Amino acid sequence: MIFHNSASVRLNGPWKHCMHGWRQLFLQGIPVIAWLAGFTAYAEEQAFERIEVFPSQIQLDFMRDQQSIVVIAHRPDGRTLDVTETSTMSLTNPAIATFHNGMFTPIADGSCMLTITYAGHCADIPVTISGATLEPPISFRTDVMPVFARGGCNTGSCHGAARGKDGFRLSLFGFDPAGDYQRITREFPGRRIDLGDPIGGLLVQKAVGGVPHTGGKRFALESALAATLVRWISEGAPDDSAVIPQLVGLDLYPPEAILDDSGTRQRLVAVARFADGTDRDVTDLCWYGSNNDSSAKVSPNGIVTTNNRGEAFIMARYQTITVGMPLVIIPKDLSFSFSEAIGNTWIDDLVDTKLKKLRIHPSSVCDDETFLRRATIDLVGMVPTLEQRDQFLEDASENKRSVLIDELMTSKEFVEIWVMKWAEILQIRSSNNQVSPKGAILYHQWLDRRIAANEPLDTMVRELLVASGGTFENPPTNYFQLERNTLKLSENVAQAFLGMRIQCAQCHNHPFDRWTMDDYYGFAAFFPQIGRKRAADPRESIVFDSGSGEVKHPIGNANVAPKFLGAETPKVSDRDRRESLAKWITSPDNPFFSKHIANLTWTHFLGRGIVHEPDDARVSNPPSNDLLLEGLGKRLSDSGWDFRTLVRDICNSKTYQRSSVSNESNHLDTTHFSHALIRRVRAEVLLDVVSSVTQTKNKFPGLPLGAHAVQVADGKTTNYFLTTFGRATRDDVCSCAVSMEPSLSQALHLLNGDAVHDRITQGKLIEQRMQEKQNNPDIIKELFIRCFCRSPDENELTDTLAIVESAPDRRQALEDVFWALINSPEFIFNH
Amino acid sequence: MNVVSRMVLLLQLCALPTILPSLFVMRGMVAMSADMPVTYEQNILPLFREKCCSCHNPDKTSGGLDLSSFLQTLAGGSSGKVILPGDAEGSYLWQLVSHASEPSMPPESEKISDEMLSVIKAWISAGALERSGSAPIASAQKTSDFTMAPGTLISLEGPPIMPPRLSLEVVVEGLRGTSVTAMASSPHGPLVAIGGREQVLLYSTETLELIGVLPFPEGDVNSLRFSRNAKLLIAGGGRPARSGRVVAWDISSGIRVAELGDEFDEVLVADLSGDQRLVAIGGPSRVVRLLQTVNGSTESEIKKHTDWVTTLEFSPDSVLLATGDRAGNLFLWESSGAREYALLRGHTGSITGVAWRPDGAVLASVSEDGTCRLWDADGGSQNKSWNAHSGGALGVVWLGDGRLITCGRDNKFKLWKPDGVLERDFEKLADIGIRVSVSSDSTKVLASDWTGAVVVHDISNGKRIGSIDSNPVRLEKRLLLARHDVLEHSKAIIPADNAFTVADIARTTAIHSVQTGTQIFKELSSKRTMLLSTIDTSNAEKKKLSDDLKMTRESLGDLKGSIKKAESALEACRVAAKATPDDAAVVEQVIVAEKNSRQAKEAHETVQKSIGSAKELIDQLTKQIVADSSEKVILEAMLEEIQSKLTADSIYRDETIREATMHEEAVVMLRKKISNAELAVIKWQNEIDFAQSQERSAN
Repeated sequence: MIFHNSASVRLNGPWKHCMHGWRQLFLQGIPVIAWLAGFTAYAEEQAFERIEVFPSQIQLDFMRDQQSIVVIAHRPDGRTLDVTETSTMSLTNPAIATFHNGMFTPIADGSCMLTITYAGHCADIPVTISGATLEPPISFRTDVMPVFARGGCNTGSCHGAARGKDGFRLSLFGFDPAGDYQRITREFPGRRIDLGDPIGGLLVQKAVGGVPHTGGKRFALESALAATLVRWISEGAPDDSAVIPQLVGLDLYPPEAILDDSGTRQRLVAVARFADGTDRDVTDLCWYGSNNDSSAKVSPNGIVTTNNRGEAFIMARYQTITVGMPLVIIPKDLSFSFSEAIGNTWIDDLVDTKLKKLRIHPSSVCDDETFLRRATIDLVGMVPTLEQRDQFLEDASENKRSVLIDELMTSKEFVEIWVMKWAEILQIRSSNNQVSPKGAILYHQWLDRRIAANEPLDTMVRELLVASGGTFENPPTNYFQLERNTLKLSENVAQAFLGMRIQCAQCHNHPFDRWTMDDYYGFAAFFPQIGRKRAADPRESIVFDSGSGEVKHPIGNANVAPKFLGAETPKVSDRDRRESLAKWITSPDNPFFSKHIANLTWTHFLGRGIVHEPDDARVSNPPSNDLLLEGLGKRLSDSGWDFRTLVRDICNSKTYQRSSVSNESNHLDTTHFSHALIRRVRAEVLLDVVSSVTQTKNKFPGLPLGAHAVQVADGKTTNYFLTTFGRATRDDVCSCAVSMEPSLSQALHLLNGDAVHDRITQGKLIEQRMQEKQNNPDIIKELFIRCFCRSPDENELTDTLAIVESAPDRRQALEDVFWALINSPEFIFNH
Repeated sequence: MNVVSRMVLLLQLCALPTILPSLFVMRGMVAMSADMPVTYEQNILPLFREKCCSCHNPDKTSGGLDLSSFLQTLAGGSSGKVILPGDAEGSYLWQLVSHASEPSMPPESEKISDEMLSVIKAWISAGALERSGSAPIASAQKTSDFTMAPGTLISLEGPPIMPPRLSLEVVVEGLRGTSVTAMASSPHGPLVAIGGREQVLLYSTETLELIGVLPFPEGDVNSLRFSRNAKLLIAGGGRPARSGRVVAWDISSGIRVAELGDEFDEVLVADLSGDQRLVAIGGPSRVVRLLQTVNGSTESEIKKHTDWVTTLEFSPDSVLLATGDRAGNLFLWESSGAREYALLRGHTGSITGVAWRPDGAVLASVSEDGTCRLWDADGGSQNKSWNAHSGGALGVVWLGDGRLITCGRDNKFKLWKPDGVLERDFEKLADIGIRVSVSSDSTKVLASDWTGAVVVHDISNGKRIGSIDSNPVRLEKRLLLARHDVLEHSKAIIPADNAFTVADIARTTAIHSVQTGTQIFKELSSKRTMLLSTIDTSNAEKKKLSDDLKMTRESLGDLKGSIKKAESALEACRVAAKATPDDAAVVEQVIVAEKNSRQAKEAHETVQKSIGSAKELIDQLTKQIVADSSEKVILEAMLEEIQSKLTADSIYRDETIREATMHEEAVVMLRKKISNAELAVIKWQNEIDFAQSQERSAN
């Protein structure tokens, strides 16, 4: 057992020589006593400082209502413990409610307090019982539908599939309760339910394993779930009468926890809130999941069990709402001291706060050579030249990194990188019949002008979203020409500008997010009034607002009014719907846009988004550091939407400049920016870099010889190298379109293809150096610096020299060395 | 114990092995007895059927394995042999069911019970016996030869074919009514059969009373058909996802004559060919099987359907078989040989019902796409199609004259003309209409719905005649209810009787008083009339007298004149006489003149007297008239009073009559109810006794 107790340390000092006889024994006893004292002190200092009870009140409104609670004990260092089962509970008026099987159930109307005590701490919550004798009629939507969710009946792999299973279909996760009611009761009379024998129909029999069922036994006949079905059928399988209270919220308790040790258990309590002010304990009716099983698993009953250290997000889903709670797992008895860092920027403070919570030490800042290469690749898509390296290393000023960042940001290559990134977001490409190459180029040029002029992003995006006119004369209108389908267009806008994938909600409510079909079609309703017509030039189209056109909801076929995601329905009767939309998206109050753009920027430099994938923000994929994301978003919007400010802040932070070498505490972390991630250089930049180190030029259609690959405007323009290394064709707005995955083709292309070998010979660099009569070590050093931005170390130099000197053809040998360097991960990866 | 009883006991013991296995087979249980070998037939097959055969059956061989037959089980599946006789631990089947290996069987379920596992283990270890040598295989099927000789004409003449007296005790009393998916009317006789859970209910379409319950322990009844000659009733059904069976009863005797088919899921539809040689069954197995009724063997199978076979029917001449499935495919097949005859293309939804027109030339089909379509039997071309029920049409039946009745998800059932034009929309059902049927005399239509209600309507005027209970209660309950009725009504009749008595008295009194009143009125009225006539007479008399008086007065004047004349004559005479006293004539004249004068004076006196008496008389009369008139007035006042009282009394009398009648009727009705209830008590007691005796004789 290791713990830092000052007593044991002291004893090893001056008392050492006093060890003999009784004195020895006595003195040996002291460490034991001290150890014990220390242990008690340890235990005392680690004792609980308070307990907390969730939910904050128990309110039971009808006979069958019930409520479970969870009791959390807090330690001073932030750790929590679930003490529900070991705490004592007492009601001040035990005649009104009873506690049984983990649930409070009503006996009689009244109110009192529930007092919970644990380890000398106590807390109490009010208990209110009303309607203890009231038995409201069973509701299909509120009582029976959740059985299918909880039993796993309406998941996509079972009866929630598009065709259901063996002719029995339920709506996926219950997005269509009216249809489910018809299908269960009347689609096949006599087979699924038998009103005369509630247990007899297949709905119950298959679920409880009474008859063979491919889906297996979902729950026991004695379970509460089966009892609900049987009760409903025995009452004649009624549908809900007109209005039942809508679900408005779901609360998951505890709202967060920091647990230590693996195998620790944490129970959850889920409470659903309805529009009529009532609530229900739905702990037994939720679906539970963890986004990180290796750190924490959650059982179908809502009991979390911890595993390895890390962070997990535990989600609960009930009907249409999914919520989650973050859980941090730290090793048992971890002694952790986080030395206050010096030189932190505001970004670093936010990152470090999270690391502290997770008990992770960040790696140290990288060295100058690493920083130089990394920043150059990230900011301008090049590798530093020898001169740039020498200059940077010789510079002794404190702020040379900051100065370098500013310098790189002024170059035109910086603009080109960001134009390329935005071109991917806007999917700039030529497309048969829709956008001609000329159109694509004009579109690209427009974007270039805006970014080069440092146009505030909100203005630029607004200009794009409301653009009308000819696609040549007002290029941002191409956005609406490239995607003419209303639904796909709305999906693209949500993904590109709000960072969300709402696609799932087109056909059913999103399984892991808050978006329902109503939200989806409400958002799509901003786009159906965009008209397109041919202009004089056959390659050009005119985009305008036709003023008519609606989106219909597939269930019920009614027109859907435009509605902002997660916000109100605006009045758009006399305004261009796109204008309202643009205004809402770029408003500083919009919770999605600024954070998404900030996250995209962050991902570019850190290799991983705070929300990752950056365009997949959802309830079940929370940000790894929500305060950081908020801060970055706010910085962007507060700075007047000047993304250069954000870039500057990010590059100047220690977080960005951390070394990629991990330490013992952070070697498993890839999500919290405790160390730099090793990232493969993206296709265009890689091609440019390979070309520049080999002194070769590329020719792309529409661009002069020697232009950079990052300058290519049209997503359709590509070559073998770029395609192999994952250049986005921009047919898709997904951030995954830019592929950084390694593949066999890539390796083979570099090893065997013309990318490296031919370029080396064509570029004639080795030839030149040989003609300049440079010696092998110098040439080799230059090659290392060109490729890796560093000199070779002793072994590397010795080994390569040996190879070159022993080779028959010196030029070929040197070219081989060059080839080897370009093929090595240190070159291809940004580290 | 003497020799005979010992022998009997021995025989009984020998018989046990023959009885027990069949019990096990029929119950599907698995109990092992210590000294009997575990065999496939007796112990393993029921176990496999319950736990395994939903996936490992001849129609759906998961993993290439069919566990429904011994040979197939031994043959194994795509992974090879699953049973190594003698080596349980090494048998793949054992490893999977004991969860020693993956994939555990049954999949996604709890492990089968330890008892079942020990049976399987024992069976494999003992060498995987097929059957015990000494025990005969309990035949799973029961067959009778009721195939008709070819060329037999089906005649529906003669007395209606009705069941004998049958027990009315229901097998199952459901919590409430539920969907009736099986309903069929006899072609010859006022009989309709309704399917339920574990029973077929027989009702009379004349009285709408239950006349028999046929037990169907095989499970739910999904399909009912009568044979073309009305002698047999065929039911298809079973336990969903477990087993399926077809049972045939002979109507005249009420006895089961055939039990066919051995499906792994419930039979959804079954039909008997016209010549009664074949039974066609269809269900979730997607295979249409044609079984020979004589021995239960499968003559042919139709595997063309890609989804559950939901409906089928032999053509009236049995040459063709129409089958439909849940995917909307509709086929015509040749019954013998099961060759495809025609694909009837058109429906876009699940086929829910088919019906052949009685002449066999046209097939009608209804589907979830809402349409009813007519097809030519010759070639299979579509004749007609019309939207019958929005949301889906679920049932169809022909009338003898080419009209059809369909029912569907719009809660309606409708009568159509032969050309598809709506003739009548019957009263709306409580829920979706599932089946329709027409009585044998084509006067009544029955429609069943999702709530279990079966309504009976008159086809010609559409009016509702009554309804049939698809979930009748137990006889005991009926008896209890009847007894309860007797008690209730007997209780109720007392106050009703009292009320009647009171009302009766009031009525009598009221009538009497009216009568009395009327009498008095009459009397007074006649009195008045008399008075009136008296007055009239008096008045007339008075008038006459007055007239006479007047005349008399006038005559008096005359008389006075005549007196004067006579006097003057006398004077003259006297003078004359005086003049001539010796003239006898004059003396005579004087005498005569004296006489005349005397007469005239007398006459004058008489007249005066008569005038006086006439005056007196007139006065009397006048007094009389006045008296009479005042009496008359009094009478009239009295009459008025009496009249109004009489009116009131009459109204009251009518009221009391009404009330008394009402109470009387109530009492009569209650008496009737009591007597009905008492009859019912007797009836249900009778039925209970009968049912018990039936049960005793069955056991």
